Amino acid sequence: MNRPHFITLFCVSLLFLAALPVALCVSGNRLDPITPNPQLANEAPNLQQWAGRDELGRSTLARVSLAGGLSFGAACLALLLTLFLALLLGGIAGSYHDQWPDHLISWLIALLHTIPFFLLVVVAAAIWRPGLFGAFLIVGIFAWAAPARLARAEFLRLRQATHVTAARAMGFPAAAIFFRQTLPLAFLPAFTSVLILLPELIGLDVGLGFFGLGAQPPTPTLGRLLYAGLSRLNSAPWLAVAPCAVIIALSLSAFALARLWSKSIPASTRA
Amino acid sequence: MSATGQRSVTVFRVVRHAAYSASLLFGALLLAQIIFEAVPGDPARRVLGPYASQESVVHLRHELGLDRPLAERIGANILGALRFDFGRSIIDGRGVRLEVMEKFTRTFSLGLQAVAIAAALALALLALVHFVPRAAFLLPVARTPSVLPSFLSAVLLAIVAALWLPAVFGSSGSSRSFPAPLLPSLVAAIYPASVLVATLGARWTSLRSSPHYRTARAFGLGRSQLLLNALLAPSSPAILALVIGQLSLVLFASLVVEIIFSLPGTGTLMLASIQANDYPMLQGILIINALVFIALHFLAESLYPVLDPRVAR
Repeated sequence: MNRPHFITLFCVSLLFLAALPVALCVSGNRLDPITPNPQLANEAPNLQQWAGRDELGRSTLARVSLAGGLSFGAACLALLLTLFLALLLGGIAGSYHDQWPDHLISWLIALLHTIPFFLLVVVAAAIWRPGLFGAFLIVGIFAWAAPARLARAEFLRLRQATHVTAARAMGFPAAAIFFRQTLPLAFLPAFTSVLILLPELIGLDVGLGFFGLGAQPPTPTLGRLLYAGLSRLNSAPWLAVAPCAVIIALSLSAFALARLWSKSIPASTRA
Repeated sequence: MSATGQRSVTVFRVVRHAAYSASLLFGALLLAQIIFEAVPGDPARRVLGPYASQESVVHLRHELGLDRPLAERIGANILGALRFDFGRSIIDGRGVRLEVMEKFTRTFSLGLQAVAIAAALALALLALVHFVPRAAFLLPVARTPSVLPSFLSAVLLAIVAALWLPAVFGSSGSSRSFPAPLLPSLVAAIYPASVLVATLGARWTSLRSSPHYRTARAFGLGRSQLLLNALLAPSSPAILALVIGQLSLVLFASLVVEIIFSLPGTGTLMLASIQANDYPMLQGILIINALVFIALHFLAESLYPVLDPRVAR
């Protein structure tokens, strides 16, 4: 087993370890992330509570796990929407090269590429005030530009491929060529380029939380836990260390997954 | 091609880029308007809250132009933005343009400093590895922040610096000793420096196995000449594109850094506007940022042919 595979396996198992407390805190109230428990406020980390308790006596471990699970789920949702939009719009642009759909979509890509992405997301979230999942739908709506550019190039290249020329010569309709001949080959590169965005999407939660956007209390988010912990770094350092560790672990495992995926694309699928 | 022909081609290219940038600007104005129009419910009611009287809601609707038809409103807003008039703040009637421009200038200079520091750090490290190959073990360490979310490093460093270096900032933030002005930009520079090291390092590795690099070595060029002529010059368009790409990320990190260091800038303005639902101010921030970045991309597009003559052909 070579090194990148080993690292990925390690990170994926870390992910499962992070998911385990979520199951625990849903099943039993020992790790309840929401209900306050004032007698146990500010409990330092111990064998039962690995990450201590916050000022209301809620388990940090449970809160961090729930927040991490929610952020990860929402980021995956944004990722799926981004992938769908990137493949659809990039595919249309690449298939209608140098005609009006291509010009329009390329112009949209240039527009979204020019306006600072985070600013757009924060302003839209500030005006629309969505919840956690709504905020990540906004992210999906604005994040498709970079992967769509790549998908467009991929579709453009596949248009010249031998098997596509053959399919066109045999009289297949355009839709059949799109779905059966080009889309399966363009999928993996586009998926990889979207997967590389995953750490950034998880981190976006931190940025939205900073401005008080995204999920609202009492639902914990990684960003809000981090800021709440950092403001009490001297008296209760565990409150900041736990969310920080979860963010770093999630980002590193997402990065390792994306790297593994991009290495697993066989060279033969490239036209 | 004659010199005049070459010049007219250049002029044509610049004019075409300018027209394209203008269309992007129009698109940005439209996008800002669409975001505002898609507010669920009545924006005036949302700003004033559930306990405001009906008269004040009607008054604010008139102020925001919500009582006019949609097309007229969008037209008026876009015309206003073309005259550089973004309306007034809902909260205290300040002119949006002056307020945003003043704060944006500060944030932008912080971001520029950060990107300049990042580029200097990254190039210094890569040059060090070029001269002393044994220092290559530093590269993976320097690349690590680029894997993490872009402003995580800025947030963590800023807060740690503000907590553990109170002597630098003073308890009230009033002291202005030497490190204070540079520290925020240094904190915001960590992520872009790491990205530059990762991207440029990979590019230089592939350049080192290219025929022109081998030829240059075969001609007996020294290490410093190799660095300048065979690595730095061919990658200069990439450096420009990377720096501009990072600038938009750095600006967002600067917003957060400003709030933590309590510097008056766009970050503080944005936080206040978000809390008060100040829609014209938020729109103004978005549009002025878009304007600056469209202008930057236009400048970069005009610079690429100078850095890389192959682009002009």
